[in-house]
Amino acid sequence: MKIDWKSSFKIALIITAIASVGAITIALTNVLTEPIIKQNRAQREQNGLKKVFGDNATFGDKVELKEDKYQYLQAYYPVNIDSSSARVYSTKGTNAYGDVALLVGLNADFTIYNIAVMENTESYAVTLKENYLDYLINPKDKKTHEQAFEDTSVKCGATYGAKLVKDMINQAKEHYKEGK
Amino acid sequence: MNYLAAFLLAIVSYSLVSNVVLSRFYGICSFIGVGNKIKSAASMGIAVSFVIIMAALICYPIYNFILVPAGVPYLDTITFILVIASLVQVVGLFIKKFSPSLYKALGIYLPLITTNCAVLGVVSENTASKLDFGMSMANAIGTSIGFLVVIIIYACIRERLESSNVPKAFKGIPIALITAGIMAIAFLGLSGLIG
Amino acid sequence: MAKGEHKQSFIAGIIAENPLFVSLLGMCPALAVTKSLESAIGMGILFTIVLVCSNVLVSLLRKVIPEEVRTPCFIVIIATFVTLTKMFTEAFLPELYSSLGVFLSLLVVNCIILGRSEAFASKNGVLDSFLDGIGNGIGFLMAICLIALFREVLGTGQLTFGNTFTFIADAHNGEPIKLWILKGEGYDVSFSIFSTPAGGFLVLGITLAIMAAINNMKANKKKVDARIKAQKAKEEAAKKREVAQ
Repeated sequence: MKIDWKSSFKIALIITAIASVGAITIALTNVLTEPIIKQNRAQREQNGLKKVFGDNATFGDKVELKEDKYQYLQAYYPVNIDSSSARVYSTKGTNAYGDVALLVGLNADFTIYNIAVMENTESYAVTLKENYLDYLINPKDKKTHEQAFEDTSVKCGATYGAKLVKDMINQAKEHYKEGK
Repeated sequence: MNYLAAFLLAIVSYSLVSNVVLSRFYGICSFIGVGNKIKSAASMGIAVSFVIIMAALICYPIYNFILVPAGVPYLDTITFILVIASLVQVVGLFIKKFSPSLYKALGIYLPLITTNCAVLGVVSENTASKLDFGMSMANAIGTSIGFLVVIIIYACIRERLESSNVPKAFKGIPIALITAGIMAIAFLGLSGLIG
Repeated sequence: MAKGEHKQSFIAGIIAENPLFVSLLGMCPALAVTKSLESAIGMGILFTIVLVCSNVLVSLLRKVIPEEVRTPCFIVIIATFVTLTKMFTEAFLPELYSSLGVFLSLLVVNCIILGRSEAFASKNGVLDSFLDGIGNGIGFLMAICLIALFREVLGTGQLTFGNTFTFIADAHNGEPIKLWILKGEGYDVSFSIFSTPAGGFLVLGITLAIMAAINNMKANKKKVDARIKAQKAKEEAAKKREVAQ
């Protein structure tokens, strides 16, 4: 096979030139946007924490979790509210229909204080939100969050999404009970 | 042993439960365009499967051992697509040299594998979900098996569709899409298979 | 090129040669992001931006790119713009970024963008490529918004604005705007199958069938009109012959 070195060299040069210009543009944009992205993420976490525990709670340092047994748990923050300690877990789970990310706030007696939804990209996102997540966050009939969670008569149209949410909250409770 | 069980379950999950075409929506253009010849469907399925597995195999070390330590994870899209394009070229050259009949049978489909969403989709998923090497390969193998299974079933159904009495407005692509929709509903029933 | 031809390449991309409904390209994002109307609008806008930018750049470089490697060059240019769009979207519209997921990266191998670069931008001037890009982008946006409208209304019974574009929710005291159509106080006649992936296939198939039926009716009408005209012409000719006799 006769290789035409000159034209191959020219071709390789042009592709490399285009690719490097592209790479440099992307690197410059990254320098511009990375701090904004980091700030957005931190802001969203703070907003989520405020939604769970309200304004008069102080949060400790974040503790990252990466254990195989608790695959839904990402991290937790120790919380100090009304002079009692609590924890809020940042959880994220994926099933065949999409992702759900929650912030689960737990009291010192391992009952649910409150929940905030950070991300809900399931196929049945609206059904899951309206029939189950809203019920957990704002239970009707003056139930507490824990009673709403234990209620087995809830009819939700998104079975696998609800199961995922239940598993995530149960895992958070288990981890807190272990006291690590 | 536990990891092997998780690996096999992951393959089943990626191939059937979140099927590449009917649930994740990758590779639809080639899926609909393959028509009703079972042989060409099977050969294209095998070619795409091979490219997916090789691309996942090559892109995992490139991302984790070259791009991330160098601090440039945002260059992943460009790098992956260049790797995939060169891989398809190399595979084409190999097929041309060792089996010219297969090359002629694949025809236009071979360069089209570069623009198949499944290849770039699997590789992007692997980096976005930060899967480890075993799970990335499970994703690739499961996707390939799922793609092959679905494309062969689809070619068989469309062959039957040719000789049936379809209303005029639905002839061609609309009835093919509705068939794919019914297959997707059938695969929806597999969603509780893995935990 | 004359001004009329500029307009021609712009209008053609919207209806006559709509990239999704007529050329049947780019179906992957059309089925995947149309679960809700908002993500479809977002995807359409980002798609248009990438298409226009890559068309213009390819058209500027068309004399420089060698023939043999034009596809890899186009892909690198498109990949650059897609990565830039991803970064800006992650920074300024993070909800849109997380709802589009991996399909924003898959714009690199979108058949429409690559097809327009290869078929049009590499052979025409910058202004025509720009207009062609905008035309095709608007056509794609309208097509996926139509599908998303059907899927969301039939699947969830309501239209929600404000989940993805949070500035709408912020302007509406923090709660997304909901338009209740098939769902309301005490009644719910939505078909949730349309929220699943299967629904995407069904909606697209039925839409294409409706368009084919409309085209068939138009073609039939033309045929019938032509036949009536031919009939009339024959009668006129016969009458003229009678008079002449």
